[in-house]
Amino acid sequence: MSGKTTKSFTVRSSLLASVPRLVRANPIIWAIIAMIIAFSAIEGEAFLSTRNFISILRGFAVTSALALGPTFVVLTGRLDLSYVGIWMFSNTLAWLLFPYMGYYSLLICPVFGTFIGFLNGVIHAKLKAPAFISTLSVTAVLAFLTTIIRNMLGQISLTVPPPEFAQNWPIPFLPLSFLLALPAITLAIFVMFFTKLGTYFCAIGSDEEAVTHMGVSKERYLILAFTISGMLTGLGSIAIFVHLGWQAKVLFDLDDVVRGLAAIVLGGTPLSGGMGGPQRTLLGALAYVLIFNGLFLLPGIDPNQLKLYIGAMLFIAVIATSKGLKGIIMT
Amino acid sequence: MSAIPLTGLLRRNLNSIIPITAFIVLILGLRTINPYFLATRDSVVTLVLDMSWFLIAATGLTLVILMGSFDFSVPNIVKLSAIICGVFYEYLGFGVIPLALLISLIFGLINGLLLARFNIPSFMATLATGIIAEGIAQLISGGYIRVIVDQNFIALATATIPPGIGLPAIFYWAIALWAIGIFITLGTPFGRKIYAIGSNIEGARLAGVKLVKTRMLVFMLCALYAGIAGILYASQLQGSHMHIGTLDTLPLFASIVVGGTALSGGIGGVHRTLLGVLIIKWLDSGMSMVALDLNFRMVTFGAIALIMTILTIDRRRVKIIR
Repeated sequence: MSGKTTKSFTVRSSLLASVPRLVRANPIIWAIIAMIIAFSAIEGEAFLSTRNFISILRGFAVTSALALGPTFVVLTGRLDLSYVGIWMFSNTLAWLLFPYMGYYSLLICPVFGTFIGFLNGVIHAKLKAPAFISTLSVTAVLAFLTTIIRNMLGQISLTVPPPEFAQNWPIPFLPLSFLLALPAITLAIFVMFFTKLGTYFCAIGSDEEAVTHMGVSKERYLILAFTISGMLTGLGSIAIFVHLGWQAKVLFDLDDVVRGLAAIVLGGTPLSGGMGGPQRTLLGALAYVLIFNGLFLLPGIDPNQLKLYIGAMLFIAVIATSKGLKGIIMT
Repeated sequence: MSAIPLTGLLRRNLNSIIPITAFIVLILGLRTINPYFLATRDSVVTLVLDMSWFLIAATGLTLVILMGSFDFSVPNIVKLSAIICGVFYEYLGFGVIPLALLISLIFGLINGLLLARFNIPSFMATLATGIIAEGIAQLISGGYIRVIVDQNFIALATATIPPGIGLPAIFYWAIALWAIGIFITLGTPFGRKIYAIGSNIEGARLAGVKLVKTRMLVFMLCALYAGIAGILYASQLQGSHMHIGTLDTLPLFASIVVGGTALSGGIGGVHRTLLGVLIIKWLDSGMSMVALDLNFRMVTFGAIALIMTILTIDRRRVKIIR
């Protein structure tokens, strides 16, 4: 009897205690709360409107779809910039297959993403090419191939007619693109917390040499990290496809690359690896979208300044999260 | 018997053989496509104008890559420097040149500080500073094209030397700055230090190389080169716009690795970058000659960057590759 009450008490207290722990572990929550209060106070009506809520949800879906995958690579201390290329080209593939497979063609996105992710992993882990430049090259090749395909087929945009249910979407507050981002989010959280992979990635990120000495095959886990990254990006790119109005993006924009990185860094996963994870990236994506939407709604803000703010934000976040890197000299 | 040393020789000199072969094949190919290639003065001037600012920026970036680091902010500093010239020329006149150089140097200093003091990997730190540089450029230009009409400033890059028959001045600037880069890397103790850091950073530190100072200086030098490239490019264009340098990161990087400088540092040098720039820029004009879709440019450069990175890197020496 008494044991039972104690148990329920501890459960409740640990639940209560986990909230401050969560906040302490993810300082970005303070920033999110502060931003919500500040923007509601300044903009009131516009910021708290349903339209803005849906817009934030959609922006959150897109940003986290871009940023979740690379988070796993960043955990290991590498940088995976291939997500823009995977997204653009896999959506194009889905568009190309649409006449034959219907809406099932969207399933090609995660398959293609997994393939490119595996390729990235092999290039980095086996051929020892620095990841940031090899994945940037992959993005360049894939993204501009997309534009070439668009030009060769003489299309202006690669659009698929939306299905019946998407045209009159029945659920009031939850846009379809947000729901489509949920599989990627769930998978990312699952990989991080319910498999040993997250731990291994963090271990590689914090001390590679020690991990190798302990007999862990570094190459295998690096390839796995890149593969998971590609798969998640492919899965998430379905949500972006729907968000853009059932079309593939055909023109490369460097800002998309920045967007993914910004969400990762803002969330508190240091680009030097070793800590953090997709849960932080989700918060980072939310913070990024709040900043973007909030600033956009501000009266009299110059759109020319937005880029500077984002750069400054990234800059501060990179420095703020970079502590604890003693011992190795970075190049 | 002779086959074995020969393959060994081939493998050891892969970094030189690939660019030279590519260069010869490229010249032959371009001459076949277009018999006027390099045959008339106009074609030479066009190529020179296309290449010169690129060579200056690539020289600066080579110094950083020799050290085993990377600088994403180079194209953005080129852009910022050109935009400063375009926007402020009507107020400051030739005073924009020290201003642009000063701001470039500040960016170099910040990059160096972030790497050497804060120990942040350079490719991440420079990514962030590059976005800030672009943000400032966007802010001060408002995204508009700026035109410079003063002939004195335009002559800085476009005056033909010797008058009437020679090449534009920017060519001599580029070659001179490239030569200075070679002198710095091969002829001074400072250059030895750059190679030492690139080859073995721990060893360099133990040998008494001041890592913080040297690395900061190299990043400042790189930013200075980028700043000069921006000023001369603004002079050549007779103004500035926001598209300068956009998407030029990969071509710049590709030209350096194609020349035979490895991303892992310590191998290659500024003297190789000229050949790399020639290959990349002539390949570029070759693709325009056969009227390929412009987007093939980036696909090709991406593929070249990927392949050359894999081929040139020295796997025996680098323990941890990020």
